[in-house]
Amino acid sequence: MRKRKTELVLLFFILPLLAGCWDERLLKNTRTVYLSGFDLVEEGDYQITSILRDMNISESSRGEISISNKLVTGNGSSIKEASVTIDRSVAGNYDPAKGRVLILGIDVAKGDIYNVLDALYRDPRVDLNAKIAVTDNSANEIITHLSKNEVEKGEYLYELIHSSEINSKIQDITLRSIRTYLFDEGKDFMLPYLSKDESDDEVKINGAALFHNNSFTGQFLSPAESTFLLLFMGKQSKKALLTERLDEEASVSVSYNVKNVSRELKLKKEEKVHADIMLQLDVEIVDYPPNHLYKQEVIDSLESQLSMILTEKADTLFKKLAENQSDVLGLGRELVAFHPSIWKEIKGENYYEHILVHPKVKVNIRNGKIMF
Amino acid sequence: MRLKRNNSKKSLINQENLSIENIKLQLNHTSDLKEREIHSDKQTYIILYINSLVDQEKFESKIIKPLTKMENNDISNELYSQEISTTKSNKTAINGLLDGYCLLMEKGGSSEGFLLKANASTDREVAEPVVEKTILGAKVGFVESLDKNVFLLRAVTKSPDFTVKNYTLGSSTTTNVSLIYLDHMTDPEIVKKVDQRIKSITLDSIRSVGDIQDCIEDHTVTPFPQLLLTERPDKASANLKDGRVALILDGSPSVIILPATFMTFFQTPDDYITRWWLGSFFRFIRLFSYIIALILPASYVAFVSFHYEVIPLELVYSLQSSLSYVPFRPFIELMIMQLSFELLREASIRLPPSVATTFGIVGGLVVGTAMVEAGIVSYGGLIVVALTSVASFVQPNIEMSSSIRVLGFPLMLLASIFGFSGIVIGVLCVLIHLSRLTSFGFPYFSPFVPLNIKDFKDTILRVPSWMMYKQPKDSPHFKREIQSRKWKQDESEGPY
Repeated sequence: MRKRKTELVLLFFILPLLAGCWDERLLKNTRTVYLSGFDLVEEGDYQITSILRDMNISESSRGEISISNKLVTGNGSSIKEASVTIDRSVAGNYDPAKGRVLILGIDVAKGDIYNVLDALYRDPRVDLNAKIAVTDNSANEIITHLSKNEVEKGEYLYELIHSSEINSKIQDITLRSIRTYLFDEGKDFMLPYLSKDESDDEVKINGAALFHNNSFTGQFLSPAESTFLLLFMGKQSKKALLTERLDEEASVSVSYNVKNVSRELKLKKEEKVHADIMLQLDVEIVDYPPNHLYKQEVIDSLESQLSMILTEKADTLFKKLAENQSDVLGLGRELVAFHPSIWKEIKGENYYEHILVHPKVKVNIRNGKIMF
Repeated sequence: MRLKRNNSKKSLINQENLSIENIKLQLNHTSDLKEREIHSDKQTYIILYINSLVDQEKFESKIIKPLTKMENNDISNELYSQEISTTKSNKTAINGLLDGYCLLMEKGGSSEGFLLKANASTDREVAEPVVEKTILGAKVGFVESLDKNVFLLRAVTKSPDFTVKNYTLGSSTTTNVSLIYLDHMTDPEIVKKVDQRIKSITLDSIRSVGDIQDCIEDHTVTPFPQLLLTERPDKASANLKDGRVALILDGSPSVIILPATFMTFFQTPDDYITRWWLGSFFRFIRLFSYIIALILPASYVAFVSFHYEVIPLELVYSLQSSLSYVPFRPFIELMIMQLSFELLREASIRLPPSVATTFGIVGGLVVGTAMVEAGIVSYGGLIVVALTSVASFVQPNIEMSSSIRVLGFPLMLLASIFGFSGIVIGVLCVLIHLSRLTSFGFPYFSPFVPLNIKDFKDTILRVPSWMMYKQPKDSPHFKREIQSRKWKQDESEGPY
């Protein structure tokens, strides 16, 4: 017993030496990244552009806060090397742990994006809830612009992406969730597509960039198309607002919010794999000036009109997807799960060529009255 | 050497026989030991008393006067003293004299003496308790006199079960102690244990309740108090009714309640006066603040030196901005702040109330902000330390709140070495320690370890009184108090 006690005491003194202060990372010595972007520059080198944010609480006039952004760039043949280059150039430790948004330049996005993300997954402290976005230019340009113009706007880009997700404008994808898309076959994804609006001098989300096999196809969906596709996937968030023009001349439009979605998917193999998708939307009319929605016939005609328009739109949408072979809907996954024999025949890099999608949309108006 | 000689001198004389000379010698011919001869009609009496312990007025009116007018020899009938006893032992006589009794002997008569009570007392008036304040509770606190304290306790615990056992402790200076319990409510095992432990105290003198506490508690190497000290009769009485035992020490306004469990320290009389859901809420707040006070400083250290990635982004920047001026590591920074707060706290106890307010402002506000502005500590550190000390003041019992402060430092050290895992290990050690503690054989961390969900009724929660048990559950008189709300049933069946 006595021996065991001395051993325990000894252990207690040795423990601090083992784990020790080596792992310590003091907050005051770190330079936390606020935003970073990845680009491919000449000779296959990667370039990282990051914003380091500093906040100064003024000593003399208490509580006054001034924020300054510092733009840093570093090149290297790998992501890690590039970040080491940045580390050397800043005072303190360069730490990407707090970066909430990662921006992929168009060159990086067109290649295998896992080449960039690998280094991030190996760092246990990286924020896995970080959002990923693609730009139509180099990430460097967007970040330079943001560091100059959006200094006071807090987490501008993060909020921008987040609010688009809430409005079902883009797919909700984080650093964590993107990994399943990268490694599971039979499923593709879309990322928010950023561009700098020259007239407003602001960074905006232009739509959703379509991916095929870990790389950007070069095509992107408009926000409305992307919302529609999310409905087909059943992944819309609480708010999914769409507007259709019913009559060109009279300029009558209807805006509706999709409350509920039910999807029926039938897959059968003939010459090609045919996917019949029947989408039922329960919608709530939020803007319809002609009104009279208390009459059943008005509702019926509006329902059939909307169903027709949407079925047409769905056709063009799926043609666009087929062109880019971007299986965002995850039909491949569906085949893997429920029709493995079909999947065995068609699987491969470009399996989406063998799939024909026949979408059909039916709209049910659930609530159209004006509420007081 | 001198002590030895004295003792040997005393031992020469036969100590058993009661004689004036003998007593005088034993009391070292102290100057305030007075001797008076009183001549009544038939007899001459010698009266011996210690001048400083005797109330002169009582002495004159209740002993001397009746004695001089006494017609027959029946002392116990003629005198008006509160207590009269006879003794033949020298030792009892001396103890009596020291308690303020007068020793009355017939001159040349038998060796029997009468002890007459005429003690002077310094009793102060019963006042509101200073340390344990309540909002709605009784404004009565224990005082320094044993008799009065027993009276105060009996007054709120009217029961034939109320039992008092008296002890005299200390070998060179003596102190009276009373053990009080409700006979049918209390586990006889506990009473037996307390009795044995008190009897085994062989201290030279008892200075305070602390001495008794040191001698009778189960575990001495622990920051957790296993005996509850209270200065409130209502609290003591409620605990007696719960089957606990009270120990009252002469000269101490703090009464010891035992066995105490961890959750006993979170109860206050106010809980039972306010309505049950409020009482439960306050108890929850107290438990929560205990955890905050224990873990917050350690968490801060772990946050800013290991795991800042879990702090929200905006907070990272503002913490960083004030931390970057601090030359010390977070642990040292917090230690400086904690220690200076401990200094302030310790200093303010001894200051008169009028100065203490000013001191609080100068010490707390000025030093605190100046330290931040001088870059010795950061805003974050200041907030954490201030919150911690506020949270530790929420604890109603002073000893318990001190235990958190003592435990806070090692936890901080662990956090600064191992980060979050250090805190987890530290808290785990505290929990293991708590589970192993006992108070008079009763598990200290009781409703949790061993788990007894039914006892949560009056520990974490404070359920309505009609849902509680009338008696401790293991008592033969066990019965639920649900009958107290039977009127509801009666009314609904009634004529209305």
